[in-house]
Amino acid sequence: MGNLLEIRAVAKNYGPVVALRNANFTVAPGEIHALMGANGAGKSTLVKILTGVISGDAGTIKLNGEEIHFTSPDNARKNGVAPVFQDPALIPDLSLRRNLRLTNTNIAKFEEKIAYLGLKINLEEQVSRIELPILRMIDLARALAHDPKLLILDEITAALPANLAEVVIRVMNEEKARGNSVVFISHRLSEIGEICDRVTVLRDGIDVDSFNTSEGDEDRIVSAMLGSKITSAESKNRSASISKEPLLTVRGIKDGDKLVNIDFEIYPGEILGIVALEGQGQDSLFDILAGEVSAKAGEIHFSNKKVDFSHPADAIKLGISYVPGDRKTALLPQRSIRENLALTKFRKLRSWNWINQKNEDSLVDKAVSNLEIDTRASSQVKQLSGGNQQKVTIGRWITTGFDLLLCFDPTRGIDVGTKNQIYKLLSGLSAEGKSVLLFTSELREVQLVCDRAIVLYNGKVQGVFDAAKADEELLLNAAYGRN
Amino acid sequence: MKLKINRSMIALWIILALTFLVTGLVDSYFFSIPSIGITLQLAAPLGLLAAGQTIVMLTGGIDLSLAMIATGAAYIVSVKSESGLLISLAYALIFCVVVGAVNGIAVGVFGVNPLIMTLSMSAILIGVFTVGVSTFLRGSSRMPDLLITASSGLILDPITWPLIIWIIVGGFVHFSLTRTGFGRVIYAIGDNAKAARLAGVKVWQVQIAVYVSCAILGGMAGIMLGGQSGAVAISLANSYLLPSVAAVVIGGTSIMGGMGSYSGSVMGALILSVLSYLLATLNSSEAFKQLVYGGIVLALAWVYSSISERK
Amino acid sequence: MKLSLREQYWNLSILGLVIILTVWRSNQLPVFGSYEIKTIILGIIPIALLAMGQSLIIIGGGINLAIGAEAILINCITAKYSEGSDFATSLRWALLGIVISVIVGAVTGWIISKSGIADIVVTLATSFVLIGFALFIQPGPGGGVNLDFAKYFIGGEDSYLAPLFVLFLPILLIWLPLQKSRLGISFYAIGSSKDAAFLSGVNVARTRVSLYAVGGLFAGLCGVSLTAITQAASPFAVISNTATLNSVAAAVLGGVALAGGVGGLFGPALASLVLYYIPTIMLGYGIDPAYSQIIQGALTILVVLVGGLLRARGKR
Repeated sequence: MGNLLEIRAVAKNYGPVVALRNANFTVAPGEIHALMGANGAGKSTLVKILTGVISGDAGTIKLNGEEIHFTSPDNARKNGVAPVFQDPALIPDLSLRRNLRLTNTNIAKFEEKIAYLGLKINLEEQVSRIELPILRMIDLARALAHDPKLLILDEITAALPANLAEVVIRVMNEEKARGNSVVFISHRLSEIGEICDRVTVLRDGIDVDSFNTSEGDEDRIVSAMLGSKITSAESKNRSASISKEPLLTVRGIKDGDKLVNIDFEIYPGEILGIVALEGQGQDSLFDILAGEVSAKAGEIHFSNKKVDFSHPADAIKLGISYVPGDRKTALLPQRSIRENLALTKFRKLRSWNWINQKNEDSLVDKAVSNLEIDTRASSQVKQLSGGNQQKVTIGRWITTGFDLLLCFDPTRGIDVGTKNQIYKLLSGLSAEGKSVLLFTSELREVQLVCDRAIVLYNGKVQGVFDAAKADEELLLNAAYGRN
Repeated sequence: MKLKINRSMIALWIILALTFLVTGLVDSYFFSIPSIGITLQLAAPLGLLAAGQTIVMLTGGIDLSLAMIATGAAYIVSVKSESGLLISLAYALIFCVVVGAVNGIAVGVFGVNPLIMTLSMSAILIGVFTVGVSTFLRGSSRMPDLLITASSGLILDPITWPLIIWIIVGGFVHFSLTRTGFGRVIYAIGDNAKAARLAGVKVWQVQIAVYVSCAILGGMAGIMLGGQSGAVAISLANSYLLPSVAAVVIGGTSIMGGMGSYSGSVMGALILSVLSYLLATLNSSEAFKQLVYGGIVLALAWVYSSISERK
Repeated sequence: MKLSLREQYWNLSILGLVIILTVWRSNQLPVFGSYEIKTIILGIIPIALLAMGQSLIIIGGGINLAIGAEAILINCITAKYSEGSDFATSLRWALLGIVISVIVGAVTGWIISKSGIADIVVTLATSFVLIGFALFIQPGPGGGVNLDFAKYFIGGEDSYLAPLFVLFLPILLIWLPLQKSRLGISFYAIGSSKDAAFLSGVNVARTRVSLYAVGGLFAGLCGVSLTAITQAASPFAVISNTATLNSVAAAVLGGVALAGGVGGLFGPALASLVLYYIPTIMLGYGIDPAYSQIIQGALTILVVLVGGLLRARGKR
């Protein structure tokens, strides 16, 4: 029997960033196929190519044995490939009926599918008023109404209530019974073995493993996702004594969305790692600590004082600096390295006067040489490589001075050499007595640079681990809620 | 990248030189010292308006009330001139600061779209001054003599007082943008307001300061325009609004903010001034003038956006 | 189509305001008969048509600062070539004018899509160019139109049926079918979320060209109706600028969100009535109509401010 979908040697680069190196992926008819991979492994890029959102730089896609090139999401849908994304592709300001009109979806068929999913929907309801879980189900019904041969479910079960998740699983099984195929992407490991026939694991843009789920188990998926294990020789030299007075204490933080009740503390000179799957509210936790948004409930104590931030400037004043995950939100892309490094100096009205060029020169030179920033493209930071951009965002705070650095996944998407420099930098800071809160999606970094790590799951702290003992398997299992 | 700025500046110099040469070939009088003096003198108010527009557009905003602010300041100076020059200038300054602050607060604190805010402010000011002329602003429409001299007085051909004022004020604006913390935060919030906020910059403070500065520069330009025409009318600066935006766009400042310079806007103002001299001597119709204006702005904006996109 | 609740409330409040102002105005006049009604309708037709065109473009996520110039250009073309002509010639030029306006709009949309320059800059530049063309064709006031042709716009002596027709026909024949069509929905889609629109199968660049073309259709209708009502061409940049400002103000007052994707064309049409009434009523009291500028400006700011605050509060 031929394959329904056959992807061979697909590659995709975003400028200098390699998203997919050489990915192969085949789906047989009547199969539920799980696509797995850690953050940044290339899953979402592969899905985008598969659904016509972007086109690959190289490689072939065959559908029913015929080579095909999807020019747009509409084109993919017409060819029987229907995606349901984590963020439903519905126009927020339009009613459901008009959204369906836009995708040329048959209304009667859609209503039939809605009933099949056990939902009741008012077609005139405006999309922006519908809750996210229901929207995902609506998106699913819309996809089903197009009678797809291949259904792609991208993280659809994330944050879906159990009853709806069961409905999704039922739909997948019934599609399979009808001879159609499903590509299933999920962070919930337990679902994979239960419902999928086959699993393909991506790592660094390459398909590293593919097997029938009956053969393997969750451990095989995890080890394929992680790749080779790290030797403890690279691990950090941990400071033996950590003082008893915490620098920062967080009690009962709630953000009104994902975060339910977060408690933890950081000691001076400590690097505390935070581990969580995508979408566990870690970004909003960092925003709260940086004064970017305020918490709905809970208390933050810094240096034994209760603090309340209304603007990031308040946090900066106390010595809390923030390196956000998306470098785009931290950098002035069109401005020079110098202006980016010095920006925070001008946050006060009285600093709006004449700039002392000599002082600034020495400040910038020092930061550039300390951080080994490549200054060949110094006049616009958007021309720098990701690693150098990240050094600029960290360097800004090193020139300013701080007590606590909030680092959100600082090494995502940057090369190994720069990664090591950043590890060295963080360890050096901790040796100077500065504290770092480090969210990382790369689990091995916990043992490499952290003193302790906490794992977030379901809006709470799932566990606190001594970094020396926290190997990747332990952390990943905790992150999936398995203790 | 440094090369790129130079390249676009060179392009502007070439365009200026071309328009300058063509104008001189069409009308040989243009090459005379007095004619150059007059062209520069007439370019000065546009240059000051473009200065205000530049700093606002660098933050990603736009000030369409600038022409009415200019007219209003000139009006106030002429009407209050009986109470003394300094007092009348003080009144005009207060007017500019208040209007600029209202614009800035609405945009920076309440998040009103700058286009709508300043359009509406312009409508309000037209109303206020149309009413005011016959009520609370009744009085002389003649500018004080000293200001007429400052706006059109000759020092030594082709150097005029307005040119000197433009050079001083323009230099101040240029150095404020390139060499002060205020300039840095202007570029910063225009390039990435969120990043500026995360770095601790209070964006609303910058917005207010920017709109106030813009209004003060507009007020200066208005007084200069009033001085050049001798008397003030409600339509004084009207025809300068779109050229002020055009000069900035031609000069390579992005309407999205964060990129550009006042030196570019100065070139833009000079090009537009020479161009309008050329179009005037060609005896060209208003029609042709408008076509050339629009065409040049569009073409240059397109060139700039394709340069920055390729990067 | 069912309007969203927000849109219904908005339209109702504007309608309420219009009714109050109408009663107010009618009390000012010694007689309020069909002639007076006709005057009012004729006064708002150009504003309303332009407001609808602008609103559509804002709904689609753009803004057209050249829309007034577009209308003036068509006004000049039709008035120049219809002067002293017979009915058929006037009609032919009116149709041609509208076609030209649609093409101008489409080209504007194409330039914006192709160049990637902000809508404001492009349309600011094209506003110069279009006024330039208008002055080329008709360097000063003048022109005219076949009176029989004009009658279809201004109606007979005391009958307001023809102008009423002119006002509502575009809504009935263009807007109602359009907002039910996939194209109309695509306008909302690209204004609301370009990414989701693309994922839903909308060709964003092509839709933007259509958006500006339909905007041009309304501007063309405005230009033709100006010719018919004033029976002359008025090639003045001042008029075109004021008309553009009014169209934006009417769109905002009519409940169209500047961010795009929200609103309809009924609200702006009603709002243009408010914009017409403010100076007229003030003039009726012998108040300097300049005050109405202040009120209109303040009202626009207030509406945007309140709209922004409501959105900030309602954000999930």
